[in-house]
Amino acid sequence: MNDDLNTPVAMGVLFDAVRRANVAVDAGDNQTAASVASAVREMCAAIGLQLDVAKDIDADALAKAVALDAARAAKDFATADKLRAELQALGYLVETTKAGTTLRHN
Amino acid sequence: MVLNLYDTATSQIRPLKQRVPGELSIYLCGPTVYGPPHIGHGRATLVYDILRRYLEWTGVKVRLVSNITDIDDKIIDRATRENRPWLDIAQKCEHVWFESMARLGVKRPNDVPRATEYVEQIVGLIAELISKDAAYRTDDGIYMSTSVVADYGLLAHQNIDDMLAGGGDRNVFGADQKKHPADFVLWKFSKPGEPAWPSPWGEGRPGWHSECVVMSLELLGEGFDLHCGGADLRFPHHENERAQAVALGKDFAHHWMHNGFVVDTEGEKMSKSLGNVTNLPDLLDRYDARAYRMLLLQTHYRSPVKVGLDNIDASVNALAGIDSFAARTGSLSATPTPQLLMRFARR
Repeated sequence: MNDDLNTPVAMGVLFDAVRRANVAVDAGDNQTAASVASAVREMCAAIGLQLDVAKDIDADALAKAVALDAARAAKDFATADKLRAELQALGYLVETTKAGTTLRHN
Repeated sequence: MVLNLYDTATSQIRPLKQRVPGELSIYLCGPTVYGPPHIGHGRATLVYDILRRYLEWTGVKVRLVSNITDIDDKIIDRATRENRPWLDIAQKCEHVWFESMARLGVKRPNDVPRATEYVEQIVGLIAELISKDAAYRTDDGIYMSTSVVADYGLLAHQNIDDMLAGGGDRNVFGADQKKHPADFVLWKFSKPGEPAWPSPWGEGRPGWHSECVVMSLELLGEGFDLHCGGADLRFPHHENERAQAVALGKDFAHHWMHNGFVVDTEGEKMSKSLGNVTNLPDLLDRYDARAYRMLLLQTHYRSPVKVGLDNIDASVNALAGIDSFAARTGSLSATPTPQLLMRFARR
């Protein structure tokens, strides 16, 4: 990265680490897996790559996301905007597409 | 930590120096808000979001200023065509812009100055240029005299006569009353019905190049660390910003960074497969918003990038691999392997 922001090389390091973590998990070597996985998470943070952590989103936030989609379907944009603001205040990145709303931790 | 970065002004990879140790001041030319952002805008924000996050990750305190050009011929043209107030177009397009940036995961700049908020300061800068004989009046506005800038053309790395021989576009080289073809408009007199601000020379609006030099210097001060934007801004926009600062004896940006283009080399094939997605909100509706960041991370920022179905799909697959890794290792946490982080940062 320090060499003219060479992200393709940095991504090579990241993908290599992902492979190593997977191999370590398969081998039951949780200590190596934990250190390598933590390094991968650090790298992802450094380049703004969000890992999909949908499983960690709490039920209350998910309920709001469902209500947001319902409000949009009913063209009740005032309610949809209010729910979006509430989710953002809870620290979520709220993405609304034609397929529906997805949440990610900010 | 030393980040070595290509500098357009010197054509060299050299250390990105910090005016204040531990801090970095960056000016990024933002959008002219007259339509939805296209994928080129997406690249020109993602590249600098990656730079900013990386610098912050290394412990540098970043101040990123990125403007909104909310008055421009293109906005006025659209307002006339659609019979709508120009401000309504600018405000709605700005809203769409930041909505798209949020979806891309681009952090909001620390400051978002709008050109219309700086008209008074722009008028002040033009008055100073006139007082130094670096600007003159024509029938349609006030123009910068580029011949007063000895190293004009520095960022373009091209002799100005060669550029002229190649035939420039009229916006750059036009207007018959100009003293030199490269001279550019600082203040444009308004026609009846057009938005107008007062000035000592008559009502009008600022030229694009004056907006950014004023906003960057007002907010970041002289000798700020880095000025950046897409390669298309190198000339004339950045050259002309720099020319005004040089003519006034002001210390301008110390490092210049430009990202490569988004190219559509697949032509019709791309339009069939992707439905010709050149509009950023459309791309974000169809794909995981992280896919574009992933695609750009796998390309050097100075290289052109193709955005097509095959490489977006490859990025989506790469994300799936990382997500599945994240899911199976999510409960594991330890001190990150230091060698990996060193390889990541240094190479």
